Amino acid sequence: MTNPFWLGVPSGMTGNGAAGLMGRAGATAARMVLGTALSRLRQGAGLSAGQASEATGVPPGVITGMELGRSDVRLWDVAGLYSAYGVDDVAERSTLLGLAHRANSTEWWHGYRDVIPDWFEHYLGLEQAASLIRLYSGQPVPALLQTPGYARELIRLSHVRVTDDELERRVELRLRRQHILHSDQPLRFWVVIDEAALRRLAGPPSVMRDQIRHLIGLCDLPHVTIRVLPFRFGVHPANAGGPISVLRLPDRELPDIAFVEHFGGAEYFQSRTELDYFRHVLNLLALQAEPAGPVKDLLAQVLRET
Amino acid sequence: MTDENPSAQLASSAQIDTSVSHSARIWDYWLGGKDNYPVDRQVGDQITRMLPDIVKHARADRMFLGRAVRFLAGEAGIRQFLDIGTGLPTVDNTHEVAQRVAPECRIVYVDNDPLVLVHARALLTSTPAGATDYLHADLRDPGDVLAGAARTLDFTRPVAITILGVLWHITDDDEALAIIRRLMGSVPSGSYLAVAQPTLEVTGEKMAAAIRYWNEHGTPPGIHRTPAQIASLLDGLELVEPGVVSSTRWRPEATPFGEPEAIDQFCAVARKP
Repeated sequence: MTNPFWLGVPSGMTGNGAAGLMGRAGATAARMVLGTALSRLRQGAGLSAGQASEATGVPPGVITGMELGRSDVRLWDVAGLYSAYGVDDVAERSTLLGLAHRANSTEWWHGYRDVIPDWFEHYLGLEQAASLIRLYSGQPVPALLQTPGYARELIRLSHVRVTDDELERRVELRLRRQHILHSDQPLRFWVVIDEAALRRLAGPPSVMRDQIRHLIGLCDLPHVTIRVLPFRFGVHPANAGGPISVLRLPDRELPDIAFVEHFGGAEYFQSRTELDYFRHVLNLLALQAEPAGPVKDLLAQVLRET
Repeated sequence: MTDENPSAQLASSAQIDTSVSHSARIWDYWLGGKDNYPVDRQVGDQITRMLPDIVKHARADRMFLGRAVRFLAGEAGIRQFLDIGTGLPTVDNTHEVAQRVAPECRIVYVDNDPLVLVHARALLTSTPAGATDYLHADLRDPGDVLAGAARTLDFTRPVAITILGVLWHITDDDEALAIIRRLMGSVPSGSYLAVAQPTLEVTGEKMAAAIRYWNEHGTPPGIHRTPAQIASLLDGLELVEPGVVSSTRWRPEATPFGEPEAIDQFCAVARKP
C-alpha cells in the first residue's frame, strides 16, 4: 500500500496525545479519521460491508457505523477488520490501533450523558472538534451564542417537567460548549440568523435584551461572524426545516458533515451531493444576509425595539 | 436526495452561477478545498487530464504568495497590502502571512465574485492590531479599486499590490499595462507590485490546450504570456531579484535537492523607484 493519508496524519491525531488538535478534537476527530481509513481499507481489499462482516463476525451495521465515525469503537473488532483487510505491517497496525484507542477516550461531556439525547452526541463531538461551523438558524438564536437566561427559557419550553437541578445542568452543558469560541485555537463560527429569531421573545423582554447585547459583544470576536437575514427577503429553501449546519474538521482530508435539526431529532448528511446542496444553500443565505451596514447597527436597532 | 443528478438541486442565483466553472472555485478545487461546485470539479478534472501539473501550479502559486508577502512585510517593511483577486479563503491567506510578520498590517481584499467576497468577509478577519477590508470591485476599473481601498489604506505611505490569480484574465496587454500604471501611479515610491501569470515556457502546447479548454468551459477567459511580456508590464519599476521566474524559483526555501522544478506559472515582484 502506498502511503495512505492517515499515516501522514500529524502526531496530534495519532500519536501519544500531543497538545494542539488533541486539546479540543479528541475522540471525535480520531473516530472520523479511523472511519475514513477503515472505509478506504475495506474498499481497497475489494470487500462489501457484508463480506467484511462474514469474514470477521462484526455486524455490518457496526462496520458502517464505525466507517461514518458514529459507532463506538471496539478494539477487538478493529483488530479483526485490519486482519481481514490485510493490514499486516506492525507499525501500520499499531498506528491504527492507537487511533482506535483514542476514539474511545473520554470527552468532557460524557459526564452530561443523562441530559444529551443519543442523536445529539455525535453532533456535540463534531462541534467541539470543528475548525469551522457554518450555520443557519431561523429559530432560535444558536446554542453557542445563547446567554444563560435565554437558554433557560428555551430548555423550560422543551422539557416541561424538568427539575431545577436538571435545568441548571442543561444550561451548564450549553455554556461549556461555548468554550470553543474562546480557546487558543478558536472555532471559526459563521452564522446566519433569521431576523425572526431575534424578534421572537424567549421569556420576558429583559432576557431578550440581554441576549441581543450578548450578540453585539460577540460581533467583536474576529473568528465569529454573525449575519442577519432580514424580513424583507422572502421565503427560501431553508424555511422548510430546522437549523442547518455544515461542520469542517481541522484535518483537511476529512469530508464536511451537514447536520439538519428537526422537531425532536436530527439528520446527518455526508455524501458529496448532499454536502454540495447544503453548502450551496448556506452560500445563498450568506449572500442574502450580506449586510448593507454593520451588523451591530441592526442588532442595536432590534435592541431598541425589544 | 440521490447521487444521480449532481447539479439538479443547485439552482443558479444572480450571484452564483452553478452551470459554468468559475476561476476562484476551480482554484479552490485544485488546492484541495471544499467550497467548489460539481461543474468546477468536472472542468477541473478535465484540465488535470490535459495538464497533470495543474495541482502543482495551484500550490506553487499559493506558496509564492506566502514567500512574497513574507518578503514584503519582512525585508521590505511593508504594512499595507492591496490583494486584487483574492480567491476563496484557503490556508495562509495574505493577511495571515503578513500579520504573522507584523500584526499591525492592513489588508484590503478585492474580488469581483460575490461568492468570494462573502466568504472573505466572514473568514478573512484581521487581528485586533491590524485591519482587513473587502471590496467588491473589478481590476478593470482601477479607479474604483483605489477609491474603495482608500477607506483602509493610506496612499501617502508604501503599499504592496498583489495581482496573482487574475492578471491572466486581463487578456489585452495594453489594458493590463494601463491598469498597472494607474495602480502604481497612485502609490508612493517604495511601494511594490507582485504578479503571477501562466506561460508556455515549461509545458508548451499542454498549457495552451488547457487554456483553450478553460476559455470554452470556464469564466472569465484568460491568456498565457511570455516572460518578456510579463517584464514589459512592469516597465518603469525595479525588478526584485531574481526577476521574472517560474513561481517555484522565486526565492525558494533552501532544500537539499537543488533547484525546484520549474512550472508554467511565472511571477515577479517589483519596486516603485
